[in-house]
Amino acid sequence: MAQPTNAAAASSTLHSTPSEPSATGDPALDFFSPLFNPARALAAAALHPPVPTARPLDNVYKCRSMLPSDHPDAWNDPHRAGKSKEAQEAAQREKSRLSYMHQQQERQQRKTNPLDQIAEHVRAGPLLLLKRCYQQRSRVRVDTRHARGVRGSMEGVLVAFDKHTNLVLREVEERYTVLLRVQRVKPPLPGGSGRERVRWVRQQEHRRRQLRQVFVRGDSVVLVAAVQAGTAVPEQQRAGGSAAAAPLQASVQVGRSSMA
Amino acid sequence: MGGRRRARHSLACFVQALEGQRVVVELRYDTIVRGTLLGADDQLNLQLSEASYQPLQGGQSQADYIYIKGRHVRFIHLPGKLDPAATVEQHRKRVAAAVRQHAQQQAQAAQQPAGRLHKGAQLQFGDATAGGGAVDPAGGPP
Repeated sequence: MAQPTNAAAASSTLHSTPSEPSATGDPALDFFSPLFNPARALAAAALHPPVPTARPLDNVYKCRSMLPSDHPDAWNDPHRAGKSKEAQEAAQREKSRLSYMHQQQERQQRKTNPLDQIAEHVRAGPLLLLKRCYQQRSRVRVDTRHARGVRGSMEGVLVAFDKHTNLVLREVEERYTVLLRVQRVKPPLPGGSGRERVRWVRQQEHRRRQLRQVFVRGDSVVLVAAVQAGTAVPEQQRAGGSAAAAPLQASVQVGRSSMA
Repeated sequence: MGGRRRARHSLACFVQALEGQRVVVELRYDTIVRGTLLGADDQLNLQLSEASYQPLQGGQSQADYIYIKGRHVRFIHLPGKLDPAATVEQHRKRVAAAVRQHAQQQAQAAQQPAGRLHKGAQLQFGDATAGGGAVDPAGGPP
């Protein structure tokens, strides 16, 4: 393979007496000459490189690792750095250590539950309370909202959660309100030709239901509180809710909340 | 549906794992939609088939296909026996198996003798055996 035609390299310690002088002493075919022409050398018949066991490389760029270290273009391959025994052993140990850690990580990932993995992403902040409730499978109280106000409250066991406050709850008891459009009919005014006046009004109706298992989307959640059966003062945590919920009766609780 | 990688770190992966099950979706304006979940994406946009739509006040109507924007979902009611962790695990395994099978099929298709479009070639679209129904794209080496 052609050696770099760099003049500096040609004069470096790689230099040795050519074993086979070119037929006519042509500098273009002399491997150690700065005027060496690789294309012609390839075309020339019966011309062998001076070192027959030289390692062939793809291009001149890769020859940099062969240059002496004081050469400006020299490059020490970090992967092959140090042919010494200590360096090789150190490299080997590093490789096995990294692969061991990688294996451990894989094993851990395979063992953990995907819901645990999601919970793991919560490291700091108010959501830690939610994480604790999840880990203890505790009963929580979740207030939900309409587009324009607080809808109601549900109590259930927290089975899963995520950073958006999407929740999965079990054994849920829910008290909530719905807004119904009802027709109100007013009797005609006394005296004279009166007509019945009919109006559509919105009426709030309270409802209650039990649910075995439910997925709650995070943007409907106003507040999540840990509830322990029997304790008087529940810890409170306000979660999510980007749009403003109308300040109805729930505002009192919200005002008293303490951020974790 | 798409967004499987984005869904990985949120409970959207759980909703995606419910593919193929009958679910009851309650929307923000108190409408109930019952149907078979065809798929969900990371923003909880849902596709349901054989669905019934029941507003708060008003009659029920049926539809072969309903697409719900995730924003409007409030609740998804689930059967009591469902275990979320197990469901997600099973779904991930199913997806991994389908991906592997597809990759194998692609490799086999690539190994076929030059010119899948040669004269008299029998092209296969869809796979009778796989649950994933992988489709080989027409077009091998020219």
